[in-house]
Amino acid sequence: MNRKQNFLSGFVKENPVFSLYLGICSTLAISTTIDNAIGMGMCVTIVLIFSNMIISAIRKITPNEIRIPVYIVVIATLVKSVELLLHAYMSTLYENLGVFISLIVVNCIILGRAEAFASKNGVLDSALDGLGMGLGYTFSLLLISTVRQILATMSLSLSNPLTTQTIFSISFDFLKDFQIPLFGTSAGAFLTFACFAALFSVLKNRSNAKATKEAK
Amino acid sequence: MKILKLTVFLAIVSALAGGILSYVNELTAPIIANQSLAAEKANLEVIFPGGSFSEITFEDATGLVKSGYQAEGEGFAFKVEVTGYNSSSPVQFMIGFDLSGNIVGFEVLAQQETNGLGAKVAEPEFKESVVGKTVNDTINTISGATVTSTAVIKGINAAKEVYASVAGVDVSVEEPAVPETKKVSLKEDFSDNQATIISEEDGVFTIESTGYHGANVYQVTVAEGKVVSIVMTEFNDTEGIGDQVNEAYLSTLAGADLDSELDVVSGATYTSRSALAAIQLALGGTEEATSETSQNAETTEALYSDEKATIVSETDGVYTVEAKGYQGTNVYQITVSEGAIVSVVMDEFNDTPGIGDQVDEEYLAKFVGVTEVDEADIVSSATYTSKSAQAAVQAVLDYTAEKE
Repeated sequence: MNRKQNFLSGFVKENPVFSLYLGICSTLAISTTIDNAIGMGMCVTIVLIFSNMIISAIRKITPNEIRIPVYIVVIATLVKSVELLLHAYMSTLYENLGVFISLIVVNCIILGRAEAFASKNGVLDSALDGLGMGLGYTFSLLLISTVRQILATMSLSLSNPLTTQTIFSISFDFLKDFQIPLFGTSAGAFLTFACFAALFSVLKNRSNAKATKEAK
Repeated sequence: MKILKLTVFLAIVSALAGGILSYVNELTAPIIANQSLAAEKANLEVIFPGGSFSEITFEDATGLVKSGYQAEGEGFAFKVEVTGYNSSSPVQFMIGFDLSGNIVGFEVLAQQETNGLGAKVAEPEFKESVVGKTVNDTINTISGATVTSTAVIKGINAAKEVYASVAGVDVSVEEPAVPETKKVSLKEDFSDNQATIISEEDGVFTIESTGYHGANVYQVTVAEGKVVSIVMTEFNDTEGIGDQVNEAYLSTLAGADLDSELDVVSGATYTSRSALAAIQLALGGTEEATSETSQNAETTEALYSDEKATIVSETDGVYTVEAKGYQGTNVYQITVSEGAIVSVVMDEFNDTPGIGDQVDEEYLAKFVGVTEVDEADIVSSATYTSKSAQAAVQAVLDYTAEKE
C-alpha cells in the first residue's frame, strides 16, 4: 500500500512539474509536440530509475561529505550514455530535443530525488520512486504538449521514435483558420503551464482538505 | 587520512563512470558515423553512382564547406553552404571532383533564392557550366543572378581548396569571373520596364522606368536623335545592388542613338535596363515604344485616377483598372452594377510569381457584392498585390459614386 502511494504521488500530489515546480526549463522548451514530450519523458524516466537505483545501492558506502559530487558523476554518466544511444538509434528525436538531453544532468528532478529519496531508501523503493516521478514528468509534458500542439497547429500526431513512422495523426481541418501560432512559442508554453499549475493546485488543496477532515 | 579516503572514493567512482562511457561510446560511434553518411548517401549517389563512401575530415578556413566524403577510388564530394541573396536561408549544394582534378558533379540541394533570378543557380544551364571544368578553370557568374552565383562560386572555390589539400592536387583558385559584358541593343524589347514619359520640356524627358523593385525616374536630354545626358532623379531599386547604376555608368550612355549597343552593369542588370528603356523611349524608340507613348497619351485622359489606381477604360459597366503592385502594374477587369461589385478578374499580372499570385480568384471573389473595401483583408505575404486589387476596386467604387 505504501509503495503504491509512493508510486502514485508522482502524478498529482507530488507531480514534479506542476506541484514541485521542478525541471520547468526543459518542460517549457520541448513541449511543442507530443513526440518530443514522450521522447524527453522517457529519457528522464530512464535516467531517474537508474540514478535512483545506483545511488540507493551505494548510499551506505558513500561518504556524506562528497555525496553530491558522486551523485552528479553518476547522473552525468547515465545522461551521456542515454544521449549517445539516442543519437545512434533515434536520430530524429535526438535532433529535436537537442541540447535539452544534455541538460537532463542538471534537471533538478533527478538530483532532487537522489538527495530526497534514494539516499534514504532501499533499491526497489528507489526504483519505484524513479518510475513514478519519471512517469509523472512524462504525464505533465504530455498534457502541456497536447494542448500546445493542438492550439498551434490544429492537428495532433505521434510517430515511432525508432522508425519515424507515423502511428496516428489527427487533423482538425475545420478549425484550420483558428490556429494560434503563439502556442508554438515559449509565451504559449508559459500560459499553458500556468493554467495546469493552477488546476493541480486546486486538486491538491481539495485532497489535503479531505485528508485533514478525515484525520479529525 | 579522511581526505585521502574521500579522494580515492571519488576517483574510483569517476573511473568507473569513464569506463562505462567509453564502452557506450565505442558501441554507438560507428552507428552515429553511418547515420550522417546515410543522410547524404542519396545526394552522393547522384554524383558517384554506386560508389562506396566514407566521411573524411578536413580543414576549411572559409567555413563554407560543411562536410566532405570520399568515394572509394573515384573521387571526393563536398557539401557546401553559402549565403546568396536570401540571407535567412543558405544555398546548399554538393560538388564532386574526380581524382585527376575534374569537376564531375554539381547538385543544388536546397535554395530559397528569388525565382527566375538567383534560383538560376539550380537550373541545368549553370550546372552544365560547372560540370566538366577542371579545378583550374574559372567559372562564370550568371548575368542577372550575380549575387547568388558569385556566392555559389565562392563556395565552389572553397571546396576546390579543400579538395586540393585532401587529394594532393595543385589548384589555382580565381575570383568568380564576370562574363564578358553583353552589349544590349537599343532595338531590343524593353516593354518589361514599362517606361513612361511623365513630362517633356525642350528635349528634356522625365521618364519613369521600372527596374527590379520599383520605378526609377530619369531625366534624359535628347538632341538630334542622340542622348546628350541622362540623370537619375529618383532611385527605387535595391540599395547596394541597383545603385551600381551610378553617374559614372550613366555618363557612358551619353551620345547613344537608336543604333547603339550599350553595356549593362553586371550585378545590376535590371536597373541598367531601366535606364536603357528610358533612353529608348526618349529617342522615340521602336514602333512599340511610340505606340506606348500614344497609349500614354490615352492614359493621361484616363477616366479616373487616384494615387494608387487608374481606370483606363469602361465598356458597359466593365472597368479596366491599372493598379501598382509590388514589382509592376497589375490590370484588373471589374464589373459594377448599381454601386456594388459584380466581379473582379485579374487581367494582367506583373508581380512576383509564387508570391503575388496568391492573390488568386478565391481572394478576388471576396470583393463581389461589396460597396466598401475592407482594407484589413489582405493576403499575408502578398500585401502589395492585395493592395493593388483593393486600390483598383476602390477606384471603381469612387468613380461610380462620383458619376452618380
